[in-house]
Formats: sequence, C-alpha cells, structure tokens
Amino acid sequence: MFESFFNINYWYFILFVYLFIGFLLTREVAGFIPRLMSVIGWPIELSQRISGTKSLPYLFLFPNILIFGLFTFLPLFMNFGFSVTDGESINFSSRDYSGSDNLARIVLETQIDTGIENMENDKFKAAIADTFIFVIFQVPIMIVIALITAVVLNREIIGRAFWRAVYFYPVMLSPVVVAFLWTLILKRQGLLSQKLIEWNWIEEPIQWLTDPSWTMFWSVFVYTWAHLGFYMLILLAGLQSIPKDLYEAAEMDGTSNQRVFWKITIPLLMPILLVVTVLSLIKAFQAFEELFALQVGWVSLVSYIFETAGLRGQKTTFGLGIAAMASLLVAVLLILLSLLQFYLTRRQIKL
Amino acid sequence: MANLELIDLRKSYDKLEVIHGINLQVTDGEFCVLVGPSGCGKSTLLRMIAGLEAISEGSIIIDGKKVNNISAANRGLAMVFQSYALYPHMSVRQNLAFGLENLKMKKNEIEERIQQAAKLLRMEEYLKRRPGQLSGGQRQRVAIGRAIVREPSIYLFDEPLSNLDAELRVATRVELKALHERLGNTMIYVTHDQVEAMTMADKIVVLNEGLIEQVGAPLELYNKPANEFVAGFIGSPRMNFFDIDMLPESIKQLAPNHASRLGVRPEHFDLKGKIILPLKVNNVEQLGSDSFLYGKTNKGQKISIKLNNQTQIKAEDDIIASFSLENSHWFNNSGIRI
Amino acid sequence: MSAVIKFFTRTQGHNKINFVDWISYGYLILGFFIIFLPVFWLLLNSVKSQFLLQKLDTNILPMDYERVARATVFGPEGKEIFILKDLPDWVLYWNDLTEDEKLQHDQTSFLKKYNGKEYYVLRTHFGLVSNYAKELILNKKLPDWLIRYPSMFPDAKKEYEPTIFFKDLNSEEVRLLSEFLGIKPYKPNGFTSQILVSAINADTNEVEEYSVNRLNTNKATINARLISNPQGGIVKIPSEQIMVNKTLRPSWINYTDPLTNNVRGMSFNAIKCLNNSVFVTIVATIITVLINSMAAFALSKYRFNGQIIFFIIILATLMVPASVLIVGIFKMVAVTGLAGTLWGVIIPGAATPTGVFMLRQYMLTIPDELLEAARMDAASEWSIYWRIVFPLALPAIAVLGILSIIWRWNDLILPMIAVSTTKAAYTIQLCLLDFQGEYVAQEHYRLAMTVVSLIPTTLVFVFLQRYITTGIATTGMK
Repeated sequence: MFESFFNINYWYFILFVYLFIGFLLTREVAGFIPRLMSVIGWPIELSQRISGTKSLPYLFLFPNILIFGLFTFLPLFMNFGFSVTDGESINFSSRDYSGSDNLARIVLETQIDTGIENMENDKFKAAIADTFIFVIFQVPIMIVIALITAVVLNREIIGRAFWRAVYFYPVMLSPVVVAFLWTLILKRQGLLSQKLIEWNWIEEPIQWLTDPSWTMFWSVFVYTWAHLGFYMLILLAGLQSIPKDLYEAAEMDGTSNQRVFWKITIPLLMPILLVVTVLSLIKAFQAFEELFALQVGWVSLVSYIFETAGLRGQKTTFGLGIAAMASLLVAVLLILLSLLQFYLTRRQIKL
Repeated sequence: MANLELIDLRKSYDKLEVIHGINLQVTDGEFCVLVGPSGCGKSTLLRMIAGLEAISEGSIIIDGKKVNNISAANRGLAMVFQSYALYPHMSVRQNLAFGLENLKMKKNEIEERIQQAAKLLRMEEYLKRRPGQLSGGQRQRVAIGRAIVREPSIYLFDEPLSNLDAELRVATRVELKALHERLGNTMIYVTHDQVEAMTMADKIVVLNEGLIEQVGAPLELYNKPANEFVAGFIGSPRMNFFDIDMLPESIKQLAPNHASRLGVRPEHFDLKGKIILPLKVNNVEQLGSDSFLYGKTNKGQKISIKLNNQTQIKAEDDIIASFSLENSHWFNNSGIRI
Repeated sequence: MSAVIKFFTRTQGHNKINFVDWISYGYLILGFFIIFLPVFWLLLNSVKSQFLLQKLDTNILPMDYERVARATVFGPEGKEIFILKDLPDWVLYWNDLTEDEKLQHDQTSFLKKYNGKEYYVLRTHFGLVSNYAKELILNKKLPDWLIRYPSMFPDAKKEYEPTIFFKDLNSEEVRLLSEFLGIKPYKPNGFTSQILVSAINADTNEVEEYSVNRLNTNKATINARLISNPQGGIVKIPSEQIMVNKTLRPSWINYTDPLTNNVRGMSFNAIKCLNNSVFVTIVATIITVLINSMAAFALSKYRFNGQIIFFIIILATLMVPASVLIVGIFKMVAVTGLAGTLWGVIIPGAATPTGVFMLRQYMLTIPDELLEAARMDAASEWSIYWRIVFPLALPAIAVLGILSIIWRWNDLILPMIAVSTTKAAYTIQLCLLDFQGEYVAQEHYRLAMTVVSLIPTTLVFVFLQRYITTGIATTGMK
C-alpha cells in the first residue's frame, strides 16, 4: 500500500538528519538562539555560500509552498480523482474509474446502480436547499445587526472598548464551545424550555435544535451570535476611517442627520459593507462546525460532505466519491464568491 | 588601505542604460567626492562599488583584484547611508557589533573596537541607547562608527549629511575631514552639494547623466572647468553664461576662435574693471558682508553679480559691470572650454 | 423615525445624556446579556453536581439539596422501605467512585456503626455481600460450588440445593448467604439518593420532612415519602407547599476529577486531550510564524522571476478552504503518513495565506536600506531575515502568532480529518465532541471541561485583545 510507504517515523528521521547536518555545519556559532536559527536555516546559508543570492527567495518560499502544494492543491486534484472513481478505499489503485456516476448519484432522481428511488439525491438536494435558506436569512440579519452595533459603538459612549470586547468575545470561542453553550439552553430539558413551562408559555418541553419549525431559527441565531463580532469589528474600523471633518463639514452646512447617514456614512462605508457581505456569504456557505456540534435538525452542505465521506471510520460504498463530487460543486461556488471578494479588495492587496 | 579602479563600468535596468561607461581611479588614502545633480547616477555608482547593485558591464578592481562577483559582505567595504540605516531594534553597541559578529570575530576584540570607535566619535555615553532615543547628529555618529569598527579598506558615504540641519552639517563636515586625516583610509563620498565637495575632497568627480564630466582637485575644477556643465555646477551662485552674439562688440572681439559662449562667475564681476558690460539691475539682495545684484544686459540676457561689500545700488538702476579676462571662460559650440 | 436616524448618525457626543443615548446603552446592555447569558449559564452549571444536573436544576447557583437515601430491604417480613439520613457524600455516591477513591474510605469500619436493616442495606450498597459470603463459605468449609452458584444458569442451579447448609448457620449467616445466592425471601437490597424537602403534613398540620425523587415544580403535586413513616407509601403534596433545604455547594470534582485523571469508567482522558491541544497550538504557532514570515520576507524584500506567480498561488489558497477539500486532505494526510498523529493536525494548517499577506504588508514598510546596511555588515541573507527583518516585523508577527493560537486551539476540521480514528491524538475540541455523544450521564465533567477549554482563548482575549482586533481590522481576515 502506498500509504504505508511514508510513515511518521520517516519524517522524524528526515527531521533528525536535517537538524544534525545543521548541527554539524554551525559549530562555530555561539549562543543558543543564534545556534538554533543557524541550524534551522542551514540550507539557505549553504546555498548562499555556494551559488549566491539568486535561488534564495525560492528557498524562503519553499516550506510554505510545499505545504500549500501538499495540503491545498494536491487535495484539489485528489478530489477530482475521488469524484470520478468508485470504491471504499482511499487508494486509487483499488478504486475503479466511474466517470460521471458520482455526479449522477447526487443529481439524478433514480439510483443508477439499483434503479430505485435515489435517496442520495434527496439528501443532497435537501442539503443545498437548507443551506441556501440558512444563508439567505443568516447573512442579511447578521450584516444589519453588525452594522447597527458598529454604528452604536462608533458613538461617543462610555466604555467603548469594553462594549467592543463584549461583542467580539464570542468570536474567540471554539465552535464546539459555542454549540455546547447553546445546547445547554436549547436542549429538550434546557433552560429555555424549563423557564417557558414555568411561565406557562408552552405545555411540553421543546427540543429547539431539532424541532422542524425551530431548527433553522436557532441555527441562524447561534451562528450569528458566534460570528457577529468579527464583522462588527471590520465595519467599526471602516466607520472610524471615515474622516471626522466630513461630519463637521456636514454639520456646518446644517445637513440633517438622516442625510448625513444616507449620503455620507453609507456611501463611504459601501466598499467595506460589500466586502463584509461577500465574506460572510463565503463563510455561511461553509457553515459546518457549530451546526455539527449543535446537532441541528438539518444538514448543511459541508456537513453533508463530512457525513457522506465517512472519515470517522463509517463504512460507505460510494461515500468518498460522492463527497468528493459534492465538494467540487461547493468549491466552484466558493471560488466564484472568492473571486468577487478579490475583485472588491484588489486595492488593499497591492501586488 | 586600498586603491579602487573602475573600468568602463556600465549599469542598465532592462534596456535603459543609466551608467554609460565610467573609468576612474582612486588612489590609496584619497578622499574622493562624487558630485552631480540628482539622478546623475552617483548613488547607483556608489552602490555598485559597494556591491549592492549588480554590474551590467565593465569591472571594479580593488587593490588589483576584480570584485565584480564578490558580494557586498565580502568586499571589505563599509558604507554610511543617507538615512543612516541603523537597526532600530538594537542598541548602539549592538549596532556596532553586528557586522563584527557576522565576521565571527572574538568577543573581546569586538569590545575593543567598539570602545575605540566610541572614543573617537565621543559616543561612550549612549552606547546602551537605541537609535530611536538619539538625536540626528548622534545617529550620524553611530552610522559612521558602524563603518569605522569594520576597519574597511574603503569607506563609502551616501549623502550622509543631507538629513542634518545647516549648522550641524558644517560641523560634521569639518569632523569628517579630520577623521579622514586621522584614519588615512580611502573614502568615496557621494553628495549633490558642491560646497561639501569643495571643502572635503581631495578629488572631485563630477557626474552628469551617467557620465563623468570632469575629475580633478577642487580648485582645479573651479578654476579650469572642463566644460559648461562643470563650470555651472561648481561654484555658488552659478556662473553667468552669455551667448557671444548677444554681447557688446567690445567683448566679442576678445573671444578666441570657435568660442560661442562666455562664462563669468558672479564673484568675478566688479564695478571698476576693464572689460565693461552695461546692465539694468532688477533686484538687489544685501547680506551684510556680500551683496547680490540681479539684472539683465542690454540684449536681455540674465546676469547675477556678487559684490563682497555693501552697496548703494538699488533696483532699476543702470550700472556698468566689469570683469577681467583671466577670470572669464570661453566655451565652444559643444560646451567644451577653450 | 428621525430619532432613530439621529441615533445612527451621531458620532459627536454631547454632554447631556439624551434619549438616543438611552437607546444606545439599552441596546448594548441587551447585547451584553444575550452574549454572556449562555457563558455564565455554562460557568454556573459547570460547578453543579451530577445529581443536580440529572435533576434538571434551573437554579442560578449550585444550591445543592440536602440528600437522603431511600433504602429497600427484603426479608422474611417482606419488603421494607425506609429512609437513611445524614449519610456522608461518599456513601451516597459510592457506586460513582473510582477504585482509588473507594480505597480512600474505610467502608467496613463505617459499616460497624450500623446494625439491623440499615446495616444490611449499606452492606449491599458497598458491594460487600459477596466478599462476606465468600469469607463465610471458606470459614465454615462449605462446598466451593456455592461461590459459583450465583453465576450459574438457571438449569444448572436446579441440580444444587444450597438451603441444606442453612441449618448449621445462625440467622445472620443465613441472611448473608441468601442475599449472596439470591434465595427468597431475600433479594439484593435497594439504595437510591433522594432529595430532602419539608412540607406541611395534611393529616397532622405540622411541618414534616419528606423524601422526593425529583423536584419538578411545574407539576401541581409531587410524589413524596414521609420520612417519619416511610412505610406509609407515596403521598402527593402540593408543589407550592414544598420547602427545600439547600446549601451552596459547588461541585469542584467536576474539574478536579478529569484534571487528575480520576474519571470513572471512561476512556475519556482530559489531560491527554489538553496536552495534545497545547502541543498542537504551540508547535503549530511556532511553525506558522516561522514559515509564513520566511515567505513574506521573500515576497516583500526580493525581486525574482515568478514572484507574481507565487503571489497568485498563495492568493489562490484563500479561495479553496479546507472544509471543501476534506476528502483530498484526508487522502494527503494518509499519503504523507501524518494520519493519526498530531503532525497531521499541525502541518496542513501551518501555511496560512492570511499570515503571509499580513506579514508581507508589514515588511514592505521596513526600509530596504536597513537590509543593505546589513549586507554591508557582512550578514548572510538568512541572518538578515532572522536578525533584522523578523525582529522589526514583530508587531505583525505577534498578531499572527496570537491569531494562530486561537485558530489552532479552536480548530475542529483538521483534527476531524487527521485524527478522527485515533483517540490518543484527540485534541480538546474533538474530546468534547466525542464526550457529548458517548457519556451522556457524565455531563458534569463535560461542562467543566468545556469551561477549561475556553480558558486559554479567554485569557489571550483579555490580555492581548488589541493585537487580535488590529489584526482583523487590518487584514479583514479571520
């Protein structure tokens, strides 16, 4: 098997040899940190000594590019590979070429292998539909709340830094923690159900996270709760970058506050508002970790990929191929959105 | 201690040539100033000598050894940068020690050199401070100190005084000159300020658009400029130039063959000489010790005159200026001095 | 409407607090509650005992009930139910203790303080019946098959008649042996923790103590057992009459047990998970900072062929997030032999386009003359990188480092891809997630470990917030 050819021990050995050579080459260097850095950088030092500075930028880029290559670009090709092959194994040698079968498995109404009704198609369609509903509600709600919060925080209020920190804090929390925090409140016997029963608002406890009529609401709520602070911060930075003298000039002109908001604040904030919207679209389409840990009553696109792929040891016949095909479809969507994002931020990047 | 020789040195970026074949010899211990207007290529030339810019053609020879392919680190030169380029995160002591550490010098030897340099430049008190806590003049000393501790064969200076205020600049100029005399090393100094060039140099190299216009001792350049460019560049205020056709017949007759232009420095005019030039004064500046008159000749050519005393002449006066033949320079069609 | 607009537009404050300010503060305080309510609720719940959590306690503070044990003893007189009061906690929770903890308590000498039915029930509760019975069998030289008898199949049991030995034994010994062998009228005695409450006895009109299984104040009446007359059966007492004796008693064992690896009967190892997360976070952050700053140095301080191409390659990686490449990354982690090791979590995420861009932008502001000065100072390019550019870019590097700490500590996707099938390499996030599915009854530990898992990021946030916010505000990337 190809997998067993590279073993973690080979890497330890390579690392050891690398450091050992560095250790031998840098005998005259004094001091721990200088020695350590020389040991790490010996190929660059050696290359400069042998062939001058021409090749150095490539060497400096090498580790980064290697990792990008191995874990971003090759996986993309691997995904292509998986999406056009069938089999349980992750070894291509034991997978059979199947062309567009995997695509058919997720988009066709009837199952191509058995000819009966295609469940996979239903699941995939449901994932797409639910994810779109989630995105359509989550993004505008979050942007509006983030904008309101940023505008409030941009006023001269007491303890601005404190309030900003408060709103930003959930961004620091891991998706698992976010999910647990809210599960504690939203589970069947959680705080919300108990209190509502106590106040006689509902009769029976509700499992808010899986109840069909509530699951989307709480998904949007928790996801917005967790990510609001990030977008608020960017918008706040945008608001603060609007020159104060514009407002002063408007005040001198006797412009009404409404006009100032619609004619100065919003137009000047528009570029950032656009960027933030596209960014949150990209993130919302990838929504997965929080929803997965919350065990909500619907399956997002990335959850679908994760569950279908069976990476946690579950047995699936076509899972890997189907998941790979689904990820490619999602990737196309995300790449389009990202291109839009680059187009909007092109000035900041300064090639 | 080193000689430096540049042979047909050229530099081009893509297809644009900016240095068009420089030939120059700097002998051991010389203070050589490269001077020229901005954009003339003097900094590029210095950086090529330093090894910071690649050489497109030609060669640089230090002590008989071609150094084209030797990196900046190994040429054994030291450079003082216009912005001083002190490492902001290191103390003055660390700034001085950095280069020596890179050469793997022993600790006590490094310390010894730092102490010497600190003493020489009177910066013992602020060895522990960071560059950010120093004044402009102090930074300038540290930058020079960083060069001195290296004990380089050649010192390179890239407009080191341009960031200092006028008073400090004069003082540092004198100090630098004294330093050169004490150390006796070859120094190559780039500036656009001809006063610095005149006061400090053993040898001035006037550069213009990537070419050497003239090489010579300061007074030689002043007294016998090779061409109109050097004549105009050296000396302040600028030399007056007159087209021969626009001059009065009396002066025209004195012109040698092929001469097309006459140059007279403002300070070489007086009001009682033999060769006379009538003019109308437009503006008078009184500096106390000197007076400057700005005006126009009868044929409308601009003229400036420096008198080394105070004067009663006022604007709109018609006066007659004069100069002597030995202080006049004649140039031919292509600007070469006759 | 115009007031609302005014509220949105005003950036200049006036000295007098007006209507708009009130709305602003109201909004902020509302936000504060929505944000911190779940956090505080988690914190408060994390010190509630397992008992309280199972009883679905909605008190804010960990007000523990006074507890009693409801005991059931079987004997010739039939089933007898009574209440045991004033037992220490370790007795009430004997079955939940680890072997180590059990060793810390001397149950046999504790047992000596009791006799009769209380003795019987506690003997069963401590699991001493079989020990004592085996001792008895050996001492009286009774046949060995008696020891095996309780685990025999019913058919096999028919061939033996254990009661024939009873004639030589006293009644206490008969009881012991019968409880061990399961011979009627004896049965294993019952022992359950219950809540002690007070209420007015409808018959006597006096306040008396009752024992209840569950306090559900939503119901009109609650089933309770009178402590002074436990045999009297279940009585229904109205909810509003109930007075509960509560004491503030945070359950610190929720924290100390997992952190001292003292969690009973579970493969959950919080220390291992935390160690893994700390290792991943520290090593990954060091590697990220090192290689990203190297790449940024190359992109900002050199001119070389293909510079633009490298730049675009790095930009492109922003477009394809790990979440849509999971199958391919899974494959590559397996191919490179990193699967199931912490390196499989560390390495794939070590190169971050965000980091390269942030550092590059910062390094562009470092003057080139400094590098040239270093070159004149005979510094190699590598030492220019780490002695000049790296220290000068420290403000940006600190931002990247702090962001990386948070990314890594909170990361879920890479651990799910790389170490899902290797429990020994679980990070804290995976552990918590796994815990959620597997040990429902041990929620008290999970809540406490959730709190532990958010301590590092919270500390980083409190002390280094400035770096995080500037990092996000300057790059617009998370």
